[in-house]
This record gives sequence, structure tokens and C-alpha cells, in this order.
Amino acid sequence: METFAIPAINVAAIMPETILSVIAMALLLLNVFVKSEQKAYLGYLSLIGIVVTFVSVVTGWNAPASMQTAFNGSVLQDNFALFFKGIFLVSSFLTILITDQYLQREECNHGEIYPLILLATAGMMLMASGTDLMTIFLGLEVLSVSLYVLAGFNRENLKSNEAGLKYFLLGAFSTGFLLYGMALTYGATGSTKIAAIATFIAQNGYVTGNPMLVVGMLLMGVGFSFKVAAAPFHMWTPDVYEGAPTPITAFMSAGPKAAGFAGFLRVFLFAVPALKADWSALLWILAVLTMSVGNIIALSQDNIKRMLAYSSIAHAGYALVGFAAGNAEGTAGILFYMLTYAFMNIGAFAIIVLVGKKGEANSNVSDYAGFASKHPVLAVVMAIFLFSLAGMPPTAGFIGKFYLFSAAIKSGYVWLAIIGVLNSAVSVYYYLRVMVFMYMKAPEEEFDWLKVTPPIVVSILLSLAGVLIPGVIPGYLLSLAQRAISM
Amino acid sequence: MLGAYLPILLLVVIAICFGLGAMVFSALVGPKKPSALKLAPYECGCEPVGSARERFSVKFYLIAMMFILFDIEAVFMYPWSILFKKLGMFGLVEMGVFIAILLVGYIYVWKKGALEWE
Amino acid sequence: MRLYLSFILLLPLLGGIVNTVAGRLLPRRLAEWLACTAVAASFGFALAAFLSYRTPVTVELFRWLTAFDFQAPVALYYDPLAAVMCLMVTFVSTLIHVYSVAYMAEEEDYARFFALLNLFVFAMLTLVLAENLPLLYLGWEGVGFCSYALIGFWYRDEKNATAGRKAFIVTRIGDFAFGIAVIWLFRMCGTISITQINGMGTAVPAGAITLLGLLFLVGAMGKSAQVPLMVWLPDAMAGPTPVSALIHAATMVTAGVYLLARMFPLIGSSATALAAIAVTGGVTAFYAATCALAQRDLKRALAYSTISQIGYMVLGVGCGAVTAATFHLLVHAFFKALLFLGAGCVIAAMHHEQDIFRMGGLARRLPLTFWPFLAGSACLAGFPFTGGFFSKDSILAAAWLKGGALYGSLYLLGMVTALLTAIYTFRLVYLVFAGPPLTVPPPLMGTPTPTLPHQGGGSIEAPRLMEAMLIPLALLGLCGGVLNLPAYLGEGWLAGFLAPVPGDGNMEASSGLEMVLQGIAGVVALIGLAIAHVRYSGERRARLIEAAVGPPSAMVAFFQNGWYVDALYRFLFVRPYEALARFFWTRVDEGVVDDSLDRFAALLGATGQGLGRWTNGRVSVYILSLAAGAALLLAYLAWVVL
Repeated sequence: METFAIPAINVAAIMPETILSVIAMALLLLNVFVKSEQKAYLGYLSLIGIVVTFVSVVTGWNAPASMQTAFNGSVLQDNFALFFKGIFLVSSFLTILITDQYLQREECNHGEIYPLILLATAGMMLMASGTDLMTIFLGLEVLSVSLYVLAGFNRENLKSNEAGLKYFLLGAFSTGFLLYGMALTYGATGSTKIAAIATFIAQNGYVTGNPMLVVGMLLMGVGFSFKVAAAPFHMWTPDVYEGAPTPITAFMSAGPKAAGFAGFLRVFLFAVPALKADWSALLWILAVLTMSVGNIIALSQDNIKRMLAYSSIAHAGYALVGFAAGNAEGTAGILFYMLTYAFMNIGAFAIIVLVGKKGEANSNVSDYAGFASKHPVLAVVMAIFLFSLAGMPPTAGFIGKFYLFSAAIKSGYVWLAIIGVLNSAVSVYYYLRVMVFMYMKAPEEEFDWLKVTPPIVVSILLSLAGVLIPGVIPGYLLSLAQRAISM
Repeated sequence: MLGAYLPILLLVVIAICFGLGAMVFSALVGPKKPSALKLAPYECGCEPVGSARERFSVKFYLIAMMFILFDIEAVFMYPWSILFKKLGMFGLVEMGVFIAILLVGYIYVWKKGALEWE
Repeated sequence: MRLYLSFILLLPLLGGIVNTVAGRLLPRRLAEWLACTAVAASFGFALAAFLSYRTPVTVELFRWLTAFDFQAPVALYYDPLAAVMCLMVTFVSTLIHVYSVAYMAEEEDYARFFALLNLFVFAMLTLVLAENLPLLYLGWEGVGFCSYALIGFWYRDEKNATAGRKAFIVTRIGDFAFGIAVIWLFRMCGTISITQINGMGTAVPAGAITLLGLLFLVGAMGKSAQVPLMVWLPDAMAGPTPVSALIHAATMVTAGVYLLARMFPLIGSSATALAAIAVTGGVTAFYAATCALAQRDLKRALAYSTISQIGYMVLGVGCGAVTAATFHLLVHAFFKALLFLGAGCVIAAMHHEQDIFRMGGLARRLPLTFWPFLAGSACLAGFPFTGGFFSKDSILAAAWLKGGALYGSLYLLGMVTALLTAIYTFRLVYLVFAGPPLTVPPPLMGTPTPTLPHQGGGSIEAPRLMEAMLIPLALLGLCGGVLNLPAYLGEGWLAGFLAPVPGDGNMEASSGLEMVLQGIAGVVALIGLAIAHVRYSGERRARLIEAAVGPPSAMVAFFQNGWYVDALYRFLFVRPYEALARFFWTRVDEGVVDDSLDRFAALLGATGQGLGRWTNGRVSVYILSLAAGAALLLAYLAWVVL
């Protein structure tokens, strides 16, 4: 009989996940004992939980290598993972801040939304620090299942139901691709550990005669592309983003997208770097398709949530540009971009939550007519977020794009960068359209239902800081992102 | 190397042949004397009423799902109990955590009233 | 040192920002007080930095973009040159800020004015302290912008706005050359640090140095209003007088000279570039002096005189006498600011009358303005033993010592210019301050005749606060010579202090020769005074003013209009450019670019709608396209890889 050795359990490496999960479960229990009008307290508790988790993420930065790995090398909480965990925590923090008001407006005040967001965040974290295909898959599933429920959270709303169901069906389908790809990779290399896969490829050399590995890689690519909403795997995005509760839409476009990139990067950069020539070409195509499809369709959207859904597809395309570049700048650029994108996008969605009315009404671009004359400050804030999304200096959106595109140029993908720049020129149109409505049309409504509550103000202020400070002095954040990828 | 998979291939081939064979054989050999009663959908011997595409109460699904959850919990305990001595304290704690997590879910569904039929 | 330097920069910036954001909400006194204090405190820190100065230091405040090969640190370099410039800029700025409080007392838009003035100081200090060329360029553009905004400060008058634009566009030509030089240097040397570039010296090919020198010269021409890019400065007098004093006399316009001095270690090794610089300076000095002779507008006359004096400085750099040029720059800053501020007092007292032919006899009415103004004039004219005398003379001496046909003739030109300078300076003094108050005001060509305030019973007096500011400047102008006494009178302090600034010409004139040269200069100045006295005092003055009613003679008009350079440029450049622009606008832009873009945009919109229909809500379609996408990628991989 084989001797059985219990693998070293290093709780420090999964501390953030553990904290979040425990708090999520505690909240789930609390939730059933708390009266409906007191559900907001669950939100505050979860905010505290996120802050605690964030502290543990910060203390883990630059930890010695022995403290980083756990579970026989299935989990590696390195700086790369920690940076992404920071992004996830930021997006869930900002999301929870804008959630309560939305739930009250929609009269679907169920406390489960907070534990679900926390669990989704824990799943994302596991994805970012997973170094075993199985761990990544596990994280992905924890994330996805939570998100399916979150997308359909507004039970009384048909569109929300539709979003939940569609997301579930398509997500399950894409998970199949991912899992199949993992299986094939395992079959071809004999391991699910990313390090072992990389060693195997390095030792045996990359042989074109190993189609199993290539197909496996491709199918994993398809699975991840679905998660980050890259064309042509983006089809679910508009319907789900439009139907899902607005705070959840904001969350989905920031956190899970970043998580998708975390897994994507982890697998492709660390496991199969030897095949870079092949996947770079593939990503080139994906990036161009994603940017163009996202931006061009966004041009003709009237619903602002749907428009931002397509815009989020386009932004995934920009990030893919950095990915296709495949160099350190590109990777650091993705990290930087995902973080700042979380700020600007959730910021914009916070305004959308404010402007919207019960039943997700009032979310057309034309409903913003004359917004600036009624709420000048909020309009300026919205304009800043939109400018950042469009990539105008001095906002973080500009720096991020600049960084990604220059990474592409550095790798010799000049045309990719040119297409990217042209695309962001196209994107300016639909962002500016909102501003045209806000500033240049006569108000049709009084916007008197608008209720600016302190949590939303905090969320907006944090987002503003996250957009403007790195936009003016990007040095610190950029060097942080660079340290995150140098190991 | 592929030789090892030969039995599986054989199994697949036999399964397909059996399924197809049964259908084809019955179609060829069986007598066909259709009547209204015979063509009606089979429903536990009851008289078929209304359309088959009805909505079932969500309670069925809930119960089914919870059954699976706790069923798996039980299944999970078997391998643990076999290796109980080897795993020792570590195994005990791990199982405790596992059961505690399920317990949280149990309390949740209980308080939510998902276990009550009416 | 780091602390001092950051505060020197930060305070004016802070003042500017506060006044920009909240200036209009603050009480007027507070806004003014804030602006003045910020600059005054900045002067204090400049003084502290100066006193604790030991060796040249580089201070990196923070890095802006670090991630690429291109590093853009915000780094400051504090050496003697920067030190004296800092002191001068903050000191003069402080005085002028205080002066402005009185001068702009009736201005409604004080917040905008002080915000811009503060920002200008910040930009100018950035320019002076910058350790690398991009940062210097940033300051360079910053002062350009503030200058533009302040020239057009009273933008409701079309003329002022146009003058602002003109200044901006003309200097832009120079900025463009400067920008090319910066980028070229980065390509060639792989660094943007000024100290490193200057250290390269011989590593840079000689031809490149010459070209770079010329590019920097063009940059300096724009900013410092040298021939042929000098046309903007006289028009820039449309701005408020304190602005003219600060930006267009003391500080910004000398930025070109500063740039040349800064880059001298690099460009100094090219004889061609130096000769070009010297010729530019000499010609400019002469040209502007002739123009100043015929001006009737007090401020325009001073503007031309500024051009002429900067010409001297550029000539000094061209002769390799960086110390002399810097010396003249400092002294000139004091006495020219003084003259402008004095002019401001006069203009304020005369209720915004600027025509010198309609002034007179103000010496008795404005004694507190008159005496400082006279001191400034003496400096400008280069009267013996004033600051201006020593500084101007050291430049001319440098030209003499260079020798050769070129520099010899430049020396002669400089002497002639000095004569002209003395004449036009005292022409101003006589016309404005001497003689009886006018009884018959001759109209300025084409304008209706208003009643003069001092006849219509209006009071003639300048605010005390404004006049008070003149005195320290007058003292500094008069005694400025102490800064750098010629060798025979003692040690030249400035030369000693600036010694670490590399590249200065090492020519030491013997005391005898220097005395002779200074003697000549002194005599020339006195001759100028005599001529001015003969022409503009007593009887002849009255006749002259009567004659001025009619159209001016051809020669006077020629000088008055700055040799018709404006008209020439209009004919040579502006007209063809406008025609070209119109062509591009209507034919190329509207006809081709806009049209094709419109069509393309429509196409994109249609495509978007078409593609949008793809997302029709059916899950089956979604799954199908997901699978199809995977299949396509697989096919592609199979095609390429396998």
C-alpha cells in the first residue's frame, strides 16, 4: 500500500479566500434572521469583510516564496495573484456600495446578494491564484454559479430572469469547452499543474505533431474568451448586461472580466509560453474582432446598459491587444487597465443606478437629456467617467490604453495598435452621445426621484480618485503592476 | 498505446449495435395494429388529461436538489471513514469543516422554509 | 535644498490653482493677498536656497512615467545660473504682483488675472529650474500660454485678442524649432538631461551641433523676439502694463537668452552657430533701436527698446560671454521692469493715455514716478556707473575682444545702437516729463480728440502703492553694476559666482583696454543725451509736437511701423497661408475629409445595426455562433500550425 502524505496546508496562501468565504456564510446565516428593512447592515458587514480581506492581501505582498504556495502547488498567491485580488476586492467593494439603493428601488431587498457577491469574489480570487488547471476551474465555477444567480437576482423582472437563464445556459456551454480543453491538455502533457505542463513542453519541445495539446490550448482559449467576452464569444454579454440588476452589471464588467484575464494570463503565459507564436496570432485576431465588434455595435445602441455592455466587449479587446503583445509591458498594461477599468465602469454604473427608475426604467441614452442642467455635479462626474472610458487624457483610461498600445508596438504589432487607436476613435462617438444628451438637450424630466445616498457618494468619490489620480500620476500604479508580473 | 482503449471501443460499438438493433428489429418484426388507446401516451396507467407540457411546482426541484446535496455529503463520508485512522486529526477537522459548511446551508434552507411543502 | 526648490515651484502653482478654482468666491483682498504672498514666499525660499547654495545639485521630485525606455522625471537642477535667475524672477514678480494690486484695482476679473500671473511665475520657474529638456519645454510652453492669455486679458476688445494670438503663433514658430531640437537630441544622445547632454561635448558630431545651435537660436528668436520673429512683442503691449513689465520685459522674453546660456556648453563649440547668434543679436539690437526712435506710444517704445536690449544679450552669448549676457539680463530685468512700471504709473495717472506727444510736464506732477523713471532711463541709456552701463559695456567689450571683421563690425553696430538707445531714451523722458503741459492736444492719427484729463480738471496722480514699488527697482538698476564690477574696480562677484557655469569665454581684457572701451561707451551715451536735449527740449519740442499732427514723414513712418516688417510678413506669409488654408478648408477638409468621414460614419452605424441584429436574443443563435467561432479558430490553427 502506498504511503499517504498529507500535502502541506499553508493557510496563509488562501487567507483572503478563506476570510471572504467565512464571512459570506456568516452573512447567509444572519440574513435569515434579519428583518427586511435591516438588510443594508448586511451590506456594511460585507464591506468590513472586504476591507479585512484587503488587509490580508496587502500584507501578503512580496511574501517569501514558501509562504505563497499551498496544496501541493495547486495554489500560488504571488504578487500577480495579489494584484488581481486587489482588483476584485475593489470592484466588489464599489459594487456593494451602490447595491443597497438599487435593491430598495426595485423592491427586491433580499440579503442574499451580499454573500453571493462575496462568494463570487472568493471564486475570482481562487482563479487568480490557481496554478493547477483544476483549481482555476474550481474558482471559475464558484464565480460562475454565483454570477448566474446574481444575474437573475431581480426575480420580479422578466429581463433579469432572462439574463440569469441565458447566462447559465451559455456559461455552462462554454465551461464545457474549457473543461474539454483542460482534459485534452492533461492528456497531452500528463499533468494539470501549470508548472508541470510548462516543464513538459520545454523538455519535449513543441511539436506540431502534438495536435492534442494545440486543440486543448485552443479550447481553453475559447472558454476564457467567453469569460472575458471576446468576440465571437461575446454574444451573451448584451442580453445579460442589460437584464442583470445594474450594480451586478457593473460588477460583472469589472471583476469577473478581470478574473477571466487572470486565468487566461496564468494559463497562456505560464503554461504554454512555448506556443506563444501560435496563440499570439490567435489573440491578434481575437483582439481585432473584439474591439471592432464591440465598438461598432455600440454605435447603434439606445439602452445605456446595453451600450456599456458592448463597450465592455471593446475594452476586453483593448486588453487583448496587450495580451497579444505578450511582453511584460502588455501584461502589466492589462493589470493596470483592469484596475482602472473597474473604477471608471463602476463609477459610470453608479450614476446609472441613480438615474434609473423602478423596473429598470429610464435607462435609455435619451433619458439623460438635460441631466446636466438639473444635476450639474453628477453630470460632470459622469462625463469624467465617460471620458476615461473613451481614453482621453488626463484620465486613467488614457494611460491604460497608451500603455497597452505601446506594448503592442514594442512587440512589432504596429497594425494592431493602429486598429486599436482607430477603434477608440470610433468609441468616442457613443460616449460623447451621452454627453450630448446630458449637456445639449433640453431636460424632459425633473430628475426629482434622484436620491443621492452616502454609500453611493463614497463609491463615486473612490471611483473618481481611481480614475483621476492614476491618470495624472500613473507612475506608482504602473510600477506596482510591473512588480506584480516580475517574479 | 491505443490498444489499451480497445475494450472501450468494443463497448461503444456493441452499445450502438444493441440499441440500433433492438429498434430496427422491433420495427421489422413486431406486429402493428394501432388503436386510439395504444397510441395514447403512457402515464402510469392513468387516463391522460391535458397537455404533457405542464409546469411543475418548483418545490419538486428544490427537494430534488437538496436531496442530491445531502446525498453527496453522505457519499463523501465513506472514503473518509475508510481512511479515518490514516488521516487522523487532520481528516476529522476537515470533515468537520465540510459538514459545518453544509450545516450552514441546512439552516438557511430550513429558515427560508424550503423544507415545508405547503 | 530639495525642500526649498519644491517650495519655490509649489507656492506659485498653489496660488494659481486656488485662484483659478476659488478666486471668484474669495473676497477680493484675500485673492490678491494670496497671490502676492505665494510669490513673496517663493522669493523667500529662493533666497534661502541661494544662501545655502554650495555646489550644483540635481533634485528629482518625482517620476512621471517610468515604465518605458523614455524616462520623464520631474527633476530640477540648481546651479549658479538657475540661482540668480530664480532670485531675479521671484523678486521682480513679487514687486509686480504688489504693483498689480493697485493697477488692477478697478478690474472686475481680478481672480483670473492673479491666477494667470501666479501660473506664469510657476511656469517661468519651471523653465529656469528644469533639469531636462522636456521639463524646460513644459515651462517654456507654460509661459507662452500665460503670456498669450494675459496679452489678451481684455479679450472683449478684438484688437487685444488678436495681439495675443499673434504672440502665440509667432513664438510657436520658434517653439517648433526648439521642439525639434529636443527630440533630435533625445534620438542622438539617448538622454534628455541637460547636464548629461552638455557633458557630451565632443561626442556629438560638429555638424549636428551647428544645426542644433541654429534650432535653439530659432527657438530663442521666437521667445525673445529677435529678428526675424520680433513682430509680436510690440503688439503684446495690448496686455495690462504689469504684464508687460513682468512677462514682456523682465522675465519671459529673456527665456531665449537663458536657453542659449543653458545650452552654451553644447552649442558653444560651433563657431558658425555662435556667429549666427551674434549676428542675430546685433542686427536685432540695431533694428529695434531705430524703431524705438519713432514710436509715439509709450509702451511700444519701451517694447522696442526691450527687443533691442535682448539683442544685446543674444549678442553677448554669441560672443561667448555668457556671464556678460546673464549680467545684462539681470540688470535689464530690473531697470526695464522699472521703466514699464513707471510707464504704468504715468498711464494710470493720465487715465490710460499712452501717446507721448500728448503728455508733458509730468516731472513736477508725478515726482515719485519721475525720479525712478529717470534712474531707469539712465541705466537704459548706459550712463556711466549705472548698472546698465557696466553690463552693456561688458557685452560690447566681449565683442571687441573677439576681434575679426565680423565681431568688429558687430561692435561698431553695437556702439551705434548704444547711441540710438541714449537718444530714444531721453526722447521719452523729455516728451513725457519735461516741458509745459500740453495745451493743444494733437490727435493721434484718425482718432477723435478727447479732452485731456489734466485740462478737463481730472486729477493727475498715480497710486502710492505703485510708485513705492519703483524705488527698490531703481536702486537695484542703478547699483546693479556692483554685481559685476570690472576688474579694475574690484572683484567681479557675478563672474566669480557664475564661474561654474561652463563655457564662458576666458578672455580677460586688460584694465587699460577696458577703461578705454568703457570711456567710449560713456561718451557715446552722453552724446546721445546731448542730441536728445537739442531735439526734444524747449522750442523744438513744441514745433515737433505741432508737426506731429500731420502725417509723419516717410522715414518716421518707416521706423514707426517697424520697417514695415508686419506688412511684409502679411504679404509674404499670412496672405498665401490664408489662401492655402481656405483651399484646404473648403476643398480638402469639407470636400474630401469630412465627406468621406461622414460616409464612413454612416457606414459604420449601419454595420453596427446589422451586427446588432446578430445578437437577437435567441440562445440557439448564441450557442451556434459560439461553436462556429471555436470551429473557425480551430480551422485557422489547423491551417497555420499543422
